[in-house]
Amino acid sequence: MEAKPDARVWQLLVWPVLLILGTLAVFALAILAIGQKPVQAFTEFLSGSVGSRAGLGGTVARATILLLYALGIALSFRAGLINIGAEGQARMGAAAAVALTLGAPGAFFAAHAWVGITALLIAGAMGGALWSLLAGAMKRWRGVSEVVSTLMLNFVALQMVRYFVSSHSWLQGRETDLQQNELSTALKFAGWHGTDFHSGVFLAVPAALAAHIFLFYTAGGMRLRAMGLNRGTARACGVPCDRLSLQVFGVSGALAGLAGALGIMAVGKLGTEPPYSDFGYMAVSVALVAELKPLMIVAVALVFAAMDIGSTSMEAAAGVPHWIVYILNGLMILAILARDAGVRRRQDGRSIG
Amino acid sequence: MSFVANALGASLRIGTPLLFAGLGELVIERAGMINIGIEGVMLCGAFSGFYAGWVFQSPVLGAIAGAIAGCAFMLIYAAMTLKIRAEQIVTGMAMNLIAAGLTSTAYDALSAAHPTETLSVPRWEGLFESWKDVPFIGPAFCMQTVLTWSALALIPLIWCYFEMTERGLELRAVGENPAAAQAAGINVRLARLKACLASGALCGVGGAFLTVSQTSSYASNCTSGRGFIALAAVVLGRHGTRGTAIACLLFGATFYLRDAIPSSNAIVQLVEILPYALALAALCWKFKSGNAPAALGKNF
Repeated sequence: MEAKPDARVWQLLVWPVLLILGTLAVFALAILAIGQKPVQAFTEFLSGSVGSRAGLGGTVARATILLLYALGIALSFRAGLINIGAEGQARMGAAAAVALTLGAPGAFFAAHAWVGITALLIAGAMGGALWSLLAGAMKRWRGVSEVVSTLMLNFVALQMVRYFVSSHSWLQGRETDLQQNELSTALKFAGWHGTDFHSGVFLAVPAALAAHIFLFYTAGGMRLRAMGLNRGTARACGVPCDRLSLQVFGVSGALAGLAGALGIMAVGKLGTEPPYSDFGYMAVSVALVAELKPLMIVAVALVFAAMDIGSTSMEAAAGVPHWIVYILNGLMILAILARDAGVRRRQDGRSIG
Repeated sequence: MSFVANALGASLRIGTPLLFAGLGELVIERAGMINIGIEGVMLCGAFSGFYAGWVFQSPVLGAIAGAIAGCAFMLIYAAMTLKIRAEQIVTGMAMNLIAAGLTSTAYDALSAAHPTETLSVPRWEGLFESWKDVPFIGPAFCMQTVLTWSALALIPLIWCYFEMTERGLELRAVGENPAAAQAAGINVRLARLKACLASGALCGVGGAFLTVSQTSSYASNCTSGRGFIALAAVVLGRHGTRGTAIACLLFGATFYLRDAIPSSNAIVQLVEILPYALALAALCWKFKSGNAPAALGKNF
């Protein structure tokens, strides 16, 4: 349906402004409610996220991770697959990457940094893709809803990696305490000029560009979107839905796994907890706020990353718990959902009832 | 013998919040809605229960407050899915984020306001505590609070409701085929709203059990994934009352085992996988003849 001009103005201008104003209002109210000063908190928030070189570097580093997660989520959601397993897929990717650094191959990769970094990133993507394909296969051959399976697989992945990290003789009977075991410096992303900023961003932004071109300018992207809009119709038009679904599971898992490997290479070791925990769920808000458009995801990921890192410095300096950002994220998702449902209702011409 | 009694008592105690949450999720899933936000509902119940229990110095009022808070929080879900017809899964995720944010912010503010006190709820006495010296029965059953007993009593009650009453049949019809149920004169939205509220109260009490009965204090995100385990229990129990209850108690025993193993042993991490791995296996094993309501996850 062709959007009317006023509908387009609403979508492009009024809605984002409303969302930002609403977010700021809730933010201020929440801070007032716990008896702190909103203006001071907001100043600390800004200086911690974008107002300093260290803050800016951290923001970009976190946005890189969020961007890759959200790209995979957007592809899945566009294809009508509610894959909420980025958290677990990233963890498996990270574990696969770290597994390569052990033993003799690890020594080889540490000596040849470029080969090593490429191999680690590929291993990360493969690990994530395989973990995601597990859910895909369960859906394809056993009819298991991907919502439940990806959610459960998240916890399985997190616990399995915790087991690997805390058991002392994993892989070739090596006595390695993975919790303490740092990656060799050759395989680590050094932060630029003492900030967290690392070269991973040069991988993530082209990925967003590629996803944009794929989704909107290729036949494959057209098929994917058709499948998401109406699977039955798409199949009747000759879209190989089963195969395409598996491919989407694989690609979105690979993106999450890549992010997991990047995160580990930036932080330097595989701890018991993921370096950016809960980002897999936060990325769902990123993808939804960006209306599942890859290029908008770049911008929204930056905003969310700034919110995440800014809230930590706000907690330290102004005594406002960083948890407030969780409330804001959740309310943002609800607002987007309500708007989308409203749009759908108007298009259906059905009454609200 | 005393070891068995202790194990049984602890498993029941650990299983109680899972049982409440599992039955709560069962009720809402039978009505055709899937709520992955029960973790958040439990968290709201846990904090409100703790807060009321601390303010009034009464664990009973704490449990009631937990039920009310769970109901109130579920109203968000009901409004989003029934009125606005928003996607159920994503709504549930948003509810988890909001609950984690709200409860942790509130607790941080509360403990900042009372820096010197330890905030705690008075101990809740067992229902038959005067008999606690009876061998075997004493340690296994007599220390359990009234909440554990009511969770156990709920199992036959909910089973009877679904299998033997007309209302229960109507609710199942709403979950299987809402359009047909509507045509048969059932108010689908009202039935689903009631299911939401009942589920909210159950999950809220389950969360409150953790703070008012089990630990008597609060910690950020103290439900630590129990809502998701309850979700797994419903899947493993194939959307049946008995199956879900058995799965919840089984998971309770599993977690007792985990706590009994010294935490330095890495095998602890593998035990924690069990609920999810079992649920996934149950999903894959002849899923197509499985029992999930036909309209699960579809808005009406």
